[in-house]
Amino acid sequence: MDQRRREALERAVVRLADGDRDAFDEVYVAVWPLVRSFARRLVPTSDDAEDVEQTALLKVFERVHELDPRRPALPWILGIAAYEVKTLRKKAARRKEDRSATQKTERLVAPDRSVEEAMQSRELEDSVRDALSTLQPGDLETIRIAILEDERPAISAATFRKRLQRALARLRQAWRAMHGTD
Amino acid sequence: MARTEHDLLTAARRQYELGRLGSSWRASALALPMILISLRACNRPEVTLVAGAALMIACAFFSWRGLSYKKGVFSGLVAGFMAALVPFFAFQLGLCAGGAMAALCQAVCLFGGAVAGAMIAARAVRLAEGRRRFLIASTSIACLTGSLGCALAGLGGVLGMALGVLVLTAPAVLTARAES
Repeated sequence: MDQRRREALERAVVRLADGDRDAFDEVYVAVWPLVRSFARRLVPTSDDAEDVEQTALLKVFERVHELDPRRPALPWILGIAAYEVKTLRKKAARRKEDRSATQKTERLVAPDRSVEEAMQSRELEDSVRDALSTLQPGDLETIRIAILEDERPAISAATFRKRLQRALARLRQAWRAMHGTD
Repeated sequence: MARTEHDLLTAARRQYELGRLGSSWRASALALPMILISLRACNRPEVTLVAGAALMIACAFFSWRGLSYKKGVFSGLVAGFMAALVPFFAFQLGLCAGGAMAALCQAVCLFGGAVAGAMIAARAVRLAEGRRRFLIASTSIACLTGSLGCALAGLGGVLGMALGVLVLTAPAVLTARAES
């Protein structure tokens, strides 16, 4: 920016800070490209740069009445833009930290499962345990032998199948009573 | 969130006005001590509260408008404070006891208003530009501030004070008109 344009901008910003609304358009037209190019040099991604540019511009106009007319306006304006860039970088760093903390927790749970899946699995196990606790010891033993394919008691296969059917029916009944669904 | 150029311009204008408005209430706070003194010293709380509220709004408004209006706020408060002090001391000396003293009390208020008007005029002539705006803000605020003290002297006192302010600022008003 050449000296003449810089001085014109300084004068316009001071007038706007004083309350001269006629200076608004002149300041806007001069400041917007400055803030935009400043932010784009410092912020790598275009979406983030756009957010920072616009936030910085609006902050400049919101706070222009605070400007000390004895001090140069351009460094003050770019100072606000720099602060917004800094805020964005802090947010990005915090997001990165949170993401790596979540990833660490996921690795502790199971290498191939997300935290959510692990929690759901634990809830399901607890529900099944609750339903099983309502069964008689004989039913529990029958279901255990069937699942683990353990040694059957000295009864016929048909009798064992009948016992298993009744045990599972009672388990289903208990589950329905607790959760209202099969 | 990406905005169009037009939306951004509108938003910038809005933020500018909101920023000015947000800080304009600081000017109102300058009037609070006078209002509190008036509530304590004068026996007309309703007048004090109405005049006080109007004064705070006027201070905030002129401060928000900016330019010479804003310069008029502090000058108006100081001048009005002087105008309010005069009847206050007169009251303490028993000159505003009412009855036969009413006319004397109103004359005292007129004198206080004249002092305020002279202060404002002296300040106005030193301004290179924006004299009219300065006078509008400072005389309104001086009258409202002065009325906080002149409530002691009743409506006549308030009007007398306002008359004093306006008479003494008239030359400055006429000069400002001639120049614009």
